[in-house]
Amino acid sequence: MLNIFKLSKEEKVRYGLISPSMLMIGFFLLIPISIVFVYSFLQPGTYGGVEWVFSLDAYKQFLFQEDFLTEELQFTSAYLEIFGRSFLQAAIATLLCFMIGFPTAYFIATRPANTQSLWLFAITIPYWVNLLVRTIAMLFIIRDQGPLNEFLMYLDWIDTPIKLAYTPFAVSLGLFYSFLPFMVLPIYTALSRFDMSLLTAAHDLYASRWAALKNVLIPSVSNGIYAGCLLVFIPSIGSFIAPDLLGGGKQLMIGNLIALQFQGSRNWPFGAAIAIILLTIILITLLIFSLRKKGEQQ
Amino acid sequence: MTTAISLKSVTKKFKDFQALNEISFDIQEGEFFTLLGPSGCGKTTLLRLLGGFEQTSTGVIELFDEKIENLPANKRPINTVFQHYSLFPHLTVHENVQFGLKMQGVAKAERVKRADEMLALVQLEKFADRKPNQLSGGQQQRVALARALAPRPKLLLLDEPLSALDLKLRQNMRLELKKIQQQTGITFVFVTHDQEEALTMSDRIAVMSAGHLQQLGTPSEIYEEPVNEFVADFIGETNLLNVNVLKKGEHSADVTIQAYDTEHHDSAVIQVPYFNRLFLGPTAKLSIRPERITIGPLTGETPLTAIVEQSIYMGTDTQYIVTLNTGCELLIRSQNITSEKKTFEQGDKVNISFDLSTARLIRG
Amino acid sequence: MKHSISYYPGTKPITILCLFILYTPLIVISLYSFNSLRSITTWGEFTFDWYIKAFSNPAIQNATMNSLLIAVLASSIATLIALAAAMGMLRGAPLRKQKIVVGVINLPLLLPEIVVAVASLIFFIAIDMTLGLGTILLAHIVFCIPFAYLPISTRLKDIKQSFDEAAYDLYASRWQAFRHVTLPMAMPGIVSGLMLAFVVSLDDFIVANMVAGPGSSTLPMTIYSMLRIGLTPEINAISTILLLISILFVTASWWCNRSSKSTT
Repeated sequence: MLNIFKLSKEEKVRYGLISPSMLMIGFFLLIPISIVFVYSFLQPGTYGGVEWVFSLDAYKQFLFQEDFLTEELQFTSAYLEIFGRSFLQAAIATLLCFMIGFPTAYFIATRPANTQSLWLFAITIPYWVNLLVRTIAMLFIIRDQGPLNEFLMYLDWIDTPIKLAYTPFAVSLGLFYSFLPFMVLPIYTALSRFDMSLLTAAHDLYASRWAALKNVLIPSVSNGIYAGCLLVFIPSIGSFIAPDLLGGGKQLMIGNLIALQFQGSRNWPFGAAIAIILLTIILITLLIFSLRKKGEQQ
Repeated sequence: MTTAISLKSVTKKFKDFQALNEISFDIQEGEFFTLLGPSGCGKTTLLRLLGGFEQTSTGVIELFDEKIENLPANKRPINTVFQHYSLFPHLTVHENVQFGLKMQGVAKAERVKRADEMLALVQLEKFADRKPNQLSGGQQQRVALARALAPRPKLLLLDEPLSALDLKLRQNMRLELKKIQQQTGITFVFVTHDQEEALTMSDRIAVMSAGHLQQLGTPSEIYEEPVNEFVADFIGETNLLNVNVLKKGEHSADVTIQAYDTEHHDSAVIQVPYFNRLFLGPTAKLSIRPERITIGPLTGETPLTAIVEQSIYMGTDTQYIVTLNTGCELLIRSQNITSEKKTFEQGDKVNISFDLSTARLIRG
Repeated sequence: MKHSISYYPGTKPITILCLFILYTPLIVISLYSFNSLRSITTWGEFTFDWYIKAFSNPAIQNATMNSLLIAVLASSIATLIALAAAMGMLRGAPLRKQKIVVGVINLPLLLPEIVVAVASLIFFIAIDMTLGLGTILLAHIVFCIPFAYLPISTRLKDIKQSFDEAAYDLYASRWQAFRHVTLPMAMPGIVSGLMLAFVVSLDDFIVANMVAGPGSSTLPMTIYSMLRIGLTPEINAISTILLLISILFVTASWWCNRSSKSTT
């Protein structure tokens, strides 16, 4: 810890300037997260809230269900399915983002230096548009009577509207659309530091274009790729709006499950427990990433 | 003459690194004083101590007999021309020059008048409303000077202010700086690693190396009477020959130039002047400036003969590298006074002579 | 270029596809907000009717005022806090615990919004605070801080320490050096941070939805509740407005930073 009595006057002023941000975030974010952690070990109150009784029920409930008649615990996969779906959706969104994002980042990184920031800006603008608005726009386009289906029918490519909205695919598409810029930015940053003449060197050493891509370019920018995947995967797995609107309430993901515990079914400890499980998953993902990075440096 | 600034046993330590070691000297009022030395010698640290940007570890700094080493930069009547000028980019030239006065609370009318005067002094009246980035490097340099002079400091610090300019501009600015210094009568402390700059502008020079003050003196003293090998070598070019001191007189000593190997013989005894402590034996070096050596055709009776190893025509002069009969190499610079003057080619045997009073004995 | 090994065929069409995917939904929804007919297939005539209709609804007027009020307050306060933090962090030698401070400031970016939302809700109820505009404001300040901090700290890092020294040398006190030198020089970064924070606050739905009390709806919350009835042209109209505000502010923020780069 800092010993404030040992600081010079200048250091005191500087720590004083930093303290409002630390207090704000500490008081209104770190303490609340700690309370979530505590609540996950309590019993639910009858009308929301908690009873101050220690209990592991919230975590048990995640895997087991109490039988109404026998009061025995039975294994239930309902919540695991939601987690599995969240993983799958986030993974599909990450893959889609990579497939579009990597070539885009490459294209931008090979533009003349003065136009690169303009291209990047064009990619980032949509990120700043309200997520709800973007998701509504996506829903508007893909719904049964939306412009996409009408257009395809007008072209006589299809006779009946393709059922896109309120499907698992719609959720993937929404997540992909929400977080695409997050994939492009870190990959671009890595590519802009990459010395393109290495590709020429690889070419000189008999590598084809694709061999150079696989053996030289991708390994060199792998950190950017991993960072991009993390930046898409993490918000995707905890997302709320896309599954809610595009999945039509049938494609629940972790985020919706948490929200439900605080709005509809009112089981705060269970909601808190799921939030803690979600944070743990994110933490593990980050740890794996940082370990991999460390391993590479050695 | 009054003493403007006085340093008494000033030391500065950064963690384990001793940047300045027991520095003591006085600077007189109205002097153009230069701190000269290679990078890392401590000259910039010393300047930052004077400006108040760093704290002394021990020692005293007095400005007109007042202790200032504990005053912060904004309380010292000392201004600085920074190496990269640090002109405020969001202010116009005029506002930059007014800045110090404004901070001191000088009334607006007075401020504007003084800034106008300063801009006139550096001949930039026409550029008053421009932003610094619309000026050339030389103009920015002048604005920085005007800005630092406007509050009429008791001491002006200049941190390698000419290093960012190109050669031609640098030479013009030297004259201009010197002129402005004489006009304003303000004491200048100038930091540079460029010995030519130091020699042409300064009243006195402090040569520094590795945190130590090596020599303090006028340009000619520093050039003509270097006290040690470092100063002799750092200021101008010189030939340093190992000599054997045979006999010490009051101002001169009898020495022989030492042979490099057994194949050669020690040369004849020569008598050269010296200015500092000297010990008998092979303990000293003889410093001879290349332009003070005369090269001529071989004749019978001379103490030193040599063979030309390399001859380079350089326009104003010709530079020779010759090997003495004692085996050591000498650099000689001979002015090309007339176009038909005879030059020597590689392999020529030549006669070397120099006025012994221009050679200096220094401790090795 | 085409024969160069660094040229990969297909990157350009994919980039164009990428931009097409990103922008088409936004453009389409804006276009339909001006269609006088509710139909998707037929274009009636150009009209502002849906905008007039939407904003004559008292609930939407109220929500708009709430959103703007919170966005203005949250972004200004967050910018002040971020500026103070950046000044403390970046003026002078690196501090001990520098990494921890940066980690804490960026924490709101790392956590899923839904977790931030429920944590805030639990906390406000635990300390017995009445849910309403005040709780939304507090929550918004917290997650606006990293967005404001980023451009401000980037800008401050570009301002060399020697400008402070020049100011001190010319008799400026610490405060004067900040007021007359650092602050004006950092202004593009500060404005940029302020605008990003404003957009982020205006965008938020998830957190506001959790910690809002009765009668303190924000615009995104109102849109969300209107969606239960269906995707109406009014929603298109409000969405278009929100979309334009975001794009306008972000463009201004970007331009601010870009034009200032050429002067340092």
